[in-house]
Amino acid sequence: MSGNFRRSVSVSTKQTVVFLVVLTLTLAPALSAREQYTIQKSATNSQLRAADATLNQASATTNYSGLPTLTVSSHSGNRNERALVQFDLSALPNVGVKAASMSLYFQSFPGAARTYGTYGVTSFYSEGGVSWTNRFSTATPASTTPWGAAGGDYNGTATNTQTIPSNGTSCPATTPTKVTFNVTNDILTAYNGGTNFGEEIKDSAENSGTARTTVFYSKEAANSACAPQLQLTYVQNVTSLAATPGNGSVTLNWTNPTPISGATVLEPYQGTLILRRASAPVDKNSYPTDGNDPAMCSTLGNGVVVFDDKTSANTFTDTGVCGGLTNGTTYFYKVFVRDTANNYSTQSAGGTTSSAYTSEISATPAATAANRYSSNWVNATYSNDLGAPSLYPGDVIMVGTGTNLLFGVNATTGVRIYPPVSLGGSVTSRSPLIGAAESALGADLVYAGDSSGYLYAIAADTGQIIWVVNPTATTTNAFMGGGAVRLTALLSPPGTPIYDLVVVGTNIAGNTTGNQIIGVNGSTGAVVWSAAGNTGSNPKMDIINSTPLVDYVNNVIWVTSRSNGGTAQPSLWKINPTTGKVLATANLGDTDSSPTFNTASTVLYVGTNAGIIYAINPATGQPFTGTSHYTSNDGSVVGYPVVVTSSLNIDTVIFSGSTAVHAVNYNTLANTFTPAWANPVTVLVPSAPATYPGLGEIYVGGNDGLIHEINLATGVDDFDVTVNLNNGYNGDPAFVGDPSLDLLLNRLYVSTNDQRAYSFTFPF
Amino acid sequence: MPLMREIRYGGLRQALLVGGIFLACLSSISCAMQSSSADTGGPTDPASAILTFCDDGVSDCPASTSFSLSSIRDLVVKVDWYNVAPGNHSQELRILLPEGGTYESSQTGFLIDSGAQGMFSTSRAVRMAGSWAAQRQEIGKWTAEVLLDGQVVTSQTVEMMQ
Repeated sequence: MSGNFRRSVSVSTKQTVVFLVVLTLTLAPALSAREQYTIQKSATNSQLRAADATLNQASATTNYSGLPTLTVSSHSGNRNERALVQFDLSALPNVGVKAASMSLYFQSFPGAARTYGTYGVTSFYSEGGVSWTNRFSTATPASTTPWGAAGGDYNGTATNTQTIPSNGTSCPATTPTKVTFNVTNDILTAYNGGTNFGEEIKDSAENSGTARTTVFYSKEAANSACAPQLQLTYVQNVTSLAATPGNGSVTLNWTNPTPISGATVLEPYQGTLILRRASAPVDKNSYPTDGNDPAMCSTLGNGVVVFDDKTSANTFTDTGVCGGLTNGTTYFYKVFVRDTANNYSTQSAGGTTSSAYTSEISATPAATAANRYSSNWVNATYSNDLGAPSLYPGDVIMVGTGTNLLFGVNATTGVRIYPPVSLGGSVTSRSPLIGAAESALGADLVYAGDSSGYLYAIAADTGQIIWVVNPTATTTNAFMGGGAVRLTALLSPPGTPIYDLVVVGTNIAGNTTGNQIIGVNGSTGAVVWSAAGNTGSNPKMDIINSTPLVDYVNNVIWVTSRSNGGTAQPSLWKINPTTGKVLATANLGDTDSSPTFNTASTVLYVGTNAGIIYAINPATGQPFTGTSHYTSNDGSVVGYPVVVTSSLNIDTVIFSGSTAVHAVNYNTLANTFTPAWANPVTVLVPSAPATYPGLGEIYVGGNDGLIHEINLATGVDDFDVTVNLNNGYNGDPAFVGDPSLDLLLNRLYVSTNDQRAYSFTFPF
Repeated sequence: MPLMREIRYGGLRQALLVGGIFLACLSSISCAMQSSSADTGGPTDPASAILTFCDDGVSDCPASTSFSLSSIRDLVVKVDWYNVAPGNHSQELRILLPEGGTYESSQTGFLIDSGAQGMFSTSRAVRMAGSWAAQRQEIGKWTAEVLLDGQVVTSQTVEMMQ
C-alpha cells in the first residue's frame, strides 16, 4: 500500500536500489488511494451487520457462530472445517472503492505451512442458522435450507490465496502474526450492485491425513484487536448535491467530502469533475479513468466534461459551457470527486465490473420560473423494479431490487444511509416501513419478503436483519406482493396482542389451489396462523401478487389473489386477523391489484385483471347490490385503486389501466358508478396513481419517462416532469414506477427501469 | 423450485446437442475456461451450458423462446451444464430486461463429483404473472445470462410479446 512508502526508512545504497525498483513497480497502486479505513469490530464499531461462523464437516448440521474463534482445518475422514467471514461496510456507504484487504489473526497455527484460499460466498445465509450442511435454519418455524453444495456456496475460483505459516505469534501480542488476503474484487462487486455475503476461507488441500488446523479469532474475540479486519482504500463522493435551474442556466451546489474519522489520508482531495448529458442521465459506464485529467468539453461515454476543477470548489453555474443549454430540456449532471493524483470516486477498474454511479442530479431550465424544476436527488439503486419505494415520511425511503438488495436512502439528501442489505432473493413490491413510535419492537423496521420465500424484519436505520424466516418452510414459494402490518398500537385496546402482525400471501410456482395467507409475529418471525387454500373448509387459493389490507374498523384482513383464470374459485379473501380463519370470499376473477378502502371503511374497492372495479360490502365480503361494478375495458388495474371521498356519499376512485388513468364516482347510497371525468387521461402504460385527500392532484408515472400531474377535479394532465427520456434501449424513455408521496417534505419518490430512484418536489 | 418437467433427449437429439455445444465452443460464445480450482482428472473441455425456457402455466411446459407477457405465468429457465470441472461451483442466473437491467438474479451452489462427467442441471421458476414487468409491458428481447463462478458462460434471448 502506498502509505507504507511514506514512512521514513533508513536503508543502505544497495537497499535503496532494491527499494526504488519496488517503488517503481508499485507506482500505480501508490497513486490509487485517497483514504484508507480499517473496519474491525470494536467499542466504536459494533459491526451489527457482520457475520462469521465455522462450518464443521464432522458436525454437519451444528451451528458454530457467536464463538470467539473460527477454525479452518484439513483433516481426512470428513473432518474438514471452513470459516465464513462477513464485514459490515456501513462506515463507508458512499465511496468509490480502489482496494480491499482482509486480515485474520491467529490463536493457533497448523504446525506445517498450508495454503488457504478465500472465496466469495454466493448464497444468502443466516449467521445463527448456518452449518456445513445448511445455510439457513430456524426452529420456529421449523425450516432449513441446505447449501447448494455442502460446505458452502462460493465461487469456484479463489479470490486470493495465501500461505499460512506453520507457527507464529498468537494474538494478542505487540506484533501478532496475521494473514492478509486481497479481496478487492469481491468488495468491488458489493459496491457495484452485487450482493455481499462475505468470504469463505478454506484449506486448498483438504482431507489431510494429519489434521492441519488453524484457529483464527472471530469478531467475538475477547480482545477486539484480534478480530478480523477489512482495510478499504477509497475516494468519497460529494454529498448534498443540489441543482437550481434558471433561464438558460443550471447552478449546482454540493458539499465536498472530509476524511472519515479514523481514516488515513493518502492523497488530498483537490476538486471535482462534472459530466453533463441532455435528456437522460450519464450512464454508469461513463466516467474518468484514474490518473487521467480529461480536457474540458471532451466526451466520456455519453457525458461531456463541463466542469474540471482543482480548487475544491463547491458550486458551478452552467450557462452553456461546451454547448448552450436549451430551455425546456432536462440536463443531467454526474459529479466525481478527484484527488491530487486524479483518482476519482469511481469503483476501481480491477473488479469484474468497472462502473460508476456517483452523485447525480437533474434540472430543467426555462424562461419562466413556473416552468423550471429539478430533482431533489437521484440515487443509483441498480434496480429496475417499478414498485413504489417504501417510505417513512421525512426520514427514509427503501427500495428493493431484482438483484437481491434493499437500499435505504435518506429522504432529504438522497444519500445512502448504509450499503444495501443483501438478501436471499429479489424484492419486487413496496415493503411496509414502520416507525419506532408505532412499532411493537420500538424500532424503525421494514418487513420485506423476497422471491426465495424469505421474510425479513430489518432495522431501517442500520440495515441489520433483526430476524429472517421461511414461513412456508419450502423452496417453491416467492413473496411477490408486499406485506401488510397490523399494528398493535392501533388496536382497541392497544397492546393486545403484544406484537405487530405481518400478513403476507404466497406465490407458489405452478400452484393454482394451495397458496397461503400467513400471519407472522412481527417481533419474532414466528408464524401465528396460516390460511391455506384447498385445506379443511378453505376453498382453492391461487397465487397472491398483491399486498393485503388491514381493516382496523371491521377487524379483518383483506387479500386479493388470482383465481386460476376464471371465476370458479375465489379472488377476494376476508380473514380473521387473530385466527386466520377465512370469513368470506368473493369470486371476482383474477386480481393482482391490492384492495383499498374509502375513508370511512364502509366500501372496499377491488380492481381486477379484467379492468373491473368492484364496490365490496365489508360486512359480507360480496359486491353491493345494484350497479356495484365499473368496467374500464382498459386491461388490468395496475397496482391499486386510490380512493378520495370527494363529497357526502360520493367516493372518487382513481385507477390506472393499460393505456389511461381513470376516475369514477361511486354513490354509496345508490350503489352506482359513473365516470368522474369526460374522458380517461391517456398516459403511455401508466403506473399506479398516487394522491391523498385534499391534494387535488394525481401523480402517475408512464413509459414515456415522465411523471404526470393530473388535476383531480378536471382530469386535465396539466404538468409533466421529465425523469429520463432515454433508458439506453432503442432510445426509448425510461419507465417511471409507482410514486410514493412524502407529505412531510412534499416530495415524490419514484423508481425507474434505469436503475435509479428520483425525488421531486410536488405540487409541480 | 419446482423442477421443469423432464426433457428427454433421443440419441439423435443428444448428438445434435453435443454438436451444438462443440460449435458454440468454437465461437467462444458459450464456453468458459476451466475453473482454476478444478481437481485433476476432470473434463478437459471448457465448461458450457444450454438454456431452455418454458411457461409452467402451459400443460407439460413445452420449451419455447417466445412468450406472451400478458399470459405467461412463470418463466421456467433450465440450465444444463457440461464439462464443468470437479469441485464446488456457483451458478448465477440473470434475467435481463430489454434495456439491460436485471429483472431477477438467482444464485445456486453446486458440487461436481469427479465421476459426474461434468454435468449438472438447475431449474428456476421466474415469476412473471402479475409482476410489474407484465403490468408495465416490458416487451422485447429479454436475455437469460448464466455465469459460472462469476464468469459469463452463455446467454440466450427470449422474446416477450404483448
